Amino acid sequence: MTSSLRLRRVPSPGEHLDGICQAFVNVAESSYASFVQACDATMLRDALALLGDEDRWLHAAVDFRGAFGGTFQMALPESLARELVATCIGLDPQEQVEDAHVLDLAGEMANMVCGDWLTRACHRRRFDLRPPLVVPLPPGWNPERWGLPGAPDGAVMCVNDVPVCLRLSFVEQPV
Amino acid sequence: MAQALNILIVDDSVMMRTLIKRVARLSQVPLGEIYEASNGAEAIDVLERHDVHAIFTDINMPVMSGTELLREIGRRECWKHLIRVIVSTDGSSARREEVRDLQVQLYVEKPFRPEVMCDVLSQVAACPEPR
Repeated sequence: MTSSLRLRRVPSPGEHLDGICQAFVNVAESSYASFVQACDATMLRDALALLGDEDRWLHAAVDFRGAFGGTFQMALPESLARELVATCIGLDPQEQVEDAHVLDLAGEMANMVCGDWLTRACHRRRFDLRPPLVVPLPPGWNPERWGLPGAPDGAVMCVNDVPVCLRLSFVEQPV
Repeated sequence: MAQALNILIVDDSVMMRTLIKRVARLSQVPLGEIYEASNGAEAIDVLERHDVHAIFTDINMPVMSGTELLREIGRRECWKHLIRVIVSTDGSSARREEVRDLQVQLYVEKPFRPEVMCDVLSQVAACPEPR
């Protein structure tokens, strides 16, 4: 029996990792006035050592539909999210950052990275982004859980010398 | 001297609203009130209660999207004067085409540099629409 449902070709994450990384650089530098660079294994080891075990990681996920369908995920240390909130709204270092703002920042950052990438990857097709979902990751989480660095579906970038993990997956969509 | 501009920022991200508000305050444009709403329905509530000259809206939002909001604004005679600016992550040509009929004057892609938003505010302040 044959199905009449036709499916779009599903890209591999590797085809779009450079695009996602470029979008991440655009967002972090434009909106958060940060210094961003690619993070190799040595840099990651050093950066994780500086972070310490008590720094919680946040996970932000954005589902997208359009020319491609899938999920963009981002994991970043909560301390970095707090630093970026303070930069974004111009807080003094001693001022308290609200928890709700930290989660909102992680979600909006993931949303912008995904949108910036999709705008460039498929300029002629509109796309829809689901509202970002942000949750804390379990204590002890680290980039190795995603096979980073070196995984074919992800990358690590350093923002102000703090690692941020990016991961991309695609799903089948009907034509 | 030009009349101070009352603006409404509509975005489901409080951080994005805060960022736009901060840039607006740092710009040279004379601003009056800066209102905020987290979706289109809240924005309509603000527009019904306040005198707003320009609206800066995201597209993807829960409850009521930016395009639904702009369609509703277009249906109301009393909001004809509103200057409409989209601030969205979706910069695709298809999306820009979709909002062409919604009397959108300016389209800003996120992420934006602060100087881009300052320039947009200057253009909004210079718009000839009655205020």
